[in-house]
Amino acid sequence: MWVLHRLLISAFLAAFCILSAHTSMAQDTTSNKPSLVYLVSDLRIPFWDIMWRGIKSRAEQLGYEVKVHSADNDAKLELQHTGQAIRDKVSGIIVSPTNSSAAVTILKLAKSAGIPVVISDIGTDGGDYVSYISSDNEGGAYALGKVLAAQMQKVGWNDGRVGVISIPQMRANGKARTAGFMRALDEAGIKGAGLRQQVTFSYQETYDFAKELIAANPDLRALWLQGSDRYQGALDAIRDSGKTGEILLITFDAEPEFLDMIPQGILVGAGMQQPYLMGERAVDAMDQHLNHQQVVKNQKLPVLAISTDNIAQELPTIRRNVLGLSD
Amino acid sequence: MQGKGLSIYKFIVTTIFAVVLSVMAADVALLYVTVKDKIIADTQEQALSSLASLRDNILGFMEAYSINEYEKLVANEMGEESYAAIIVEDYHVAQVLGIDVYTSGRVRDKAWRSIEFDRKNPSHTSSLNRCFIKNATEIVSFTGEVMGKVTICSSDRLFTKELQKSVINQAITTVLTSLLLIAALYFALKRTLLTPLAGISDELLTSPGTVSTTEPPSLFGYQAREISTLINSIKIYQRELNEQQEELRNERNRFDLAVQGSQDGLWDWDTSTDTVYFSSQWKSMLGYENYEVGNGLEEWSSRVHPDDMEETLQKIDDHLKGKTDIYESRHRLKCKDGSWKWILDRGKALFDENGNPVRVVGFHTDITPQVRHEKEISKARQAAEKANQAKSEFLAAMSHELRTPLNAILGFSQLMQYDADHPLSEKQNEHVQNIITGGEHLLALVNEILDLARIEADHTSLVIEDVSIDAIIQDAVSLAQPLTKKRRISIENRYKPQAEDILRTDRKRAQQVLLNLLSNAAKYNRDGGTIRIHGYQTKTGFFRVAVTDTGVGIAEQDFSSVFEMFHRLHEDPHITRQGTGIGLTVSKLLIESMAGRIGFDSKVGVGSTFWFELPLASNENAVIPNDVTTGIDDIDKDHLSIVKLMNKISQGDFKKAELGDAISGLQAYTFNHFMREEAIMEACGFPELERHKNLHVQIRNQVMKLDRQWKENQDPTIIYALRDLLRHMWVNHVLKEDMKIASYAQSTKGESDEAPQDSQ
Repeated sequence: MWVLHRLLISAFLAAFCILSAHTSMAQDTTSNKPSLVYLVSDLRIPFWDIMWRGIKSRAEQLGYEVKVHSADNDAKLELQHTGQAIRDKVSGIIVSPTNSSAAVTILKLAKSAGIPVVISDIGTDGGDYVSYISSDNEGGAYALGKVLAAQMQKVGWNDGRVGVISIPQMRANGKARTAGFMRALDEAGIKGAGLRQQVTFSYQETYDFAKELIAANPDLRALWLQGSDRYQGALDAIRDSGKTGEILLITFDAEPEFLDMIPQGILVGAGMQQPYLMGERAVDAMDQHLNHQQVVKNQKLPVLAISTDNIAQELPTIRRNVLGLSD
Repeated sequence: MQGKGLSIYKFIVTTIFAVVLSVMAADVALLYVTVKDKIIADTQEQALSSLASLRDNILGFMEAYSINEYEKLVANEMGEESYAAIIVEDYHVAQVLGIDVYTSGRVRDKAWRSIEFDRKNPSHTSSLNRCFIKNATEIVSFTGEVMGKVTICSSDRLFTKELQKSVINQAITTVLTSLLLIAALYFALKRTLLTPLAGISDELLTSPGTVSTTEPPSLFGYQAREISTLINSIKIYQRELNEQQEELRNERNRFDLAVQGSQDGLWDWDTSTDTVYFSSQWKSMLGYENYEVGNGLEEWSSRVHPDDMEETLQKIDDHLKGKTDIYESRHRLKCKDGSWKWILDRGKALFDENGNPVRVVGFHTDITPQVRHEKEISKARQAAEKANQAKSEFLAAMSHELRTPLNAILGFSQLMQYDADHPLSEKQNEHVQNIITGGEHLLALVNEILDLARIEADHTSLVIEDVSIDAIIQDAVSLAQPLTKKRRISIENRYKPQAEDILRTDRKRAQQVLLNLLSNAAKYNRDGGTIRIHGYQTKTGFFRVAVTDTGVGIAEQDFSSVFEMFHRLHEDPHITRQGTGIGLTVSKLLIESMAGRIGFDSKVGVGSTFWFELPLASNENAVIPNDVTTGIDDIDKDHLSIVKLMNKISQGDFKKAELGDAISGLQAYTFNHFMREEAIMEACGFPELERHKNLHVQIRNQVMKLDRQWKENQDPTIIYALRDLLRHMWVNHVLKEDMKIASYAQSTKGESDEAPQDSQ
């Protein structure tokens, strides 16, 4: 546990250093190398930062100059960055937009300027792009469902029910996650206990939904959070319901502390996306396009279903692809 | 009927389609007018509503730079089909992007799909300029900042589509309505019209003209009766029509035959184009082949004799101006060989409603032989009349010169016989008696010659009156008694007087003729013979007096010369010496001048019967020349000649050939007479010249027509028609009209004396 904690801190520090160095470098770039720009919704979020590192690393390997513009989740800033990139006549844009709607405008502006765009996560509501790199939400959720089912069978809670606190099901990734997970439960013969969709994504909302599900389903044996950041609300609700040790918790996405919590059994498991790998793949796709090679239009990268059973084994992969830590 | 039926169906279908289509077209036009404004107003209202909605909803997205979101709104609004384009100008984003204007929105492509607006695409920008209705509004933030502008461009597609929809609906309605109407009308018409018509047609075709008593099948009772009545009516009309057509054919054939038979040339002048149809007979009359004469008016006018042209044109002009009922002209036309032919040209014009002549049709009759004949007659007559006049004057003069010494001879001879102082010896007395007898014979001869001369010179005036025949016979018998007494010849008057036996004649002359016949009967009788007098009415309105003797009779070879002057009836010198040879000639002239006739029958050795007929007072057919004497010599001479011919024709015992000659003669005399009359009228300026001419034309045409008919067919009815014509038209004309001429001419005497004798 200690090891993991130090490891994550080191990773964040390293990432910060690299980012700072790269930003200053990008600002000074005046060479004739083909240039890429990464428009990201908010670089302050680790997931996007890890992805940027993957992009930067791969781009430099391939001989591109690369800049990053963080919109800090501001649409106006995002538009300004887009306009700037177009005026700079960059060779390509990799974008992780603030939302899929904003992506449409970016794609349109880029298209009118003749600049190819690769979307890395979030997706778009429309427009033309070179490739869309995303996580295999359904596959990851299925694998995660298998992990939970195995654990429930292991402890003899086969007849218990599983409650779901989901991200909005209007989102494509929400639907995909629910479908994959429920398919795994269904295959195991485990019944669902209802689904609550997050609206505010707040701690309180997660706590309340968890309490409701526990209260409504006496035979509830597990809760699945489709997001990871409000896991504490769920844990608190289990505890406050007096069900500690009687209800399992499993999440999609992961927090650094999960590297400790999973081995401790606080969490049964977590689905881990690979942002670093996604960044690399985005650059690869752009490079292929600029070199007039065939590009896979939609690339889904596997989500790692991590449990106590495989966390040690997958740790190198987690370090690199999930956390963006170089060896 | 099948073919006709089909054409009726076609007609009905076409008519229904046309009518329904017209109504529907009018409806569409009305719809266009009424719906157009409504659609425009609705479109405008809708656009304004959308504009307001967009303005309000876009603002938030615009402020949040959520371009795609408000583009979704725009795309959503473009679901309204009437919008051709919705354009959003985002000043906010433009500022962010560092450009003049950021424009987004959607337009329609050719397939009317909503596509993203590209301001660089000329077709997109140009489509904005073709807006049917354009509405725009600014997007203003709550702080009053103008964020952008939204424009909605409405098309007329909806309007057009509505109109198309209406047209299609109307077209479908038209077709369906038409089909419905056609079906309904078909069955209705088939039941009420076509089936009965087919029945009528079949019935008329199977038994035309035969009135049927059966009713057509498959019809309602009242229909059957009506149809049956209709069929029978049609059949009757059909039959009448056939008869009329047959009659018309006969009339046409008759007309053609008449035209061919008359050898007249037909002409038909179209006055509007001055073209003339000339029949082949017209052309051949002048010696031309059909192809040698065109159809211009000049074909005629160029051939008219220059001397006749002015008068002919005047007559045409008078007729075209309506002054004369019929155009008639006698003029000369030049033949192909350069000779001239006299043509009687007659025609009649047809006038339009304004009184303008549009067509004149007429005939050319070649009257060259007739004119020649007339000239010959006129010349011969003038010569004869001149000779006769000279003869009469000579005889009259000589008679006077003869009678004076004869009277002296007779007077002194009788003095010698009765002179007591110088009695004659027996021998001397015998010689003196011979002188007296011869002188008396010579005096009688001279007196009869004088009488004959007066008659022939028309110096004999008749006193026509109603006379009892009985009185005439009684007086004549009384006067004849001395002639018969010496030879013991008895006169038997077998006439039984009747009250209605009243003659219209000259008593003295009638008695003179009868006395002459009795005298002859005595002269040529045997001693002790008998003279019988018979009298009776004939069926033709005359009274016949017959004197029969028991004399020697007349040989048949002498029949033709009995009435010739100085012809002796017998070779016996004793008998011959008693007559002058003039009596029968005088009698004949007298009888004829009194509208009568004289004749005889005789057998040698048995005796002769001489008779004369004079018109009864009740006979209207006979015309006594004395009645038609006007006092103008030329006219009266014509009248005398014509009256004699008329009386001959009326008495009707002519042979057919002689009748034909009499009719032709009558025609020639009539023509000649009319010309002479017209010349006199023109010379004395008779005011009713034109009216007389018209009457002349009518009479002349009638006479010509009857003459032509008689030549074609010697039907007795033609003679009756001619008799009626003469009695009524001609005599009336003479009595009423010619008398006016005479009185007018006499009042302007001197002028009429200068009238030409012959206009030809």
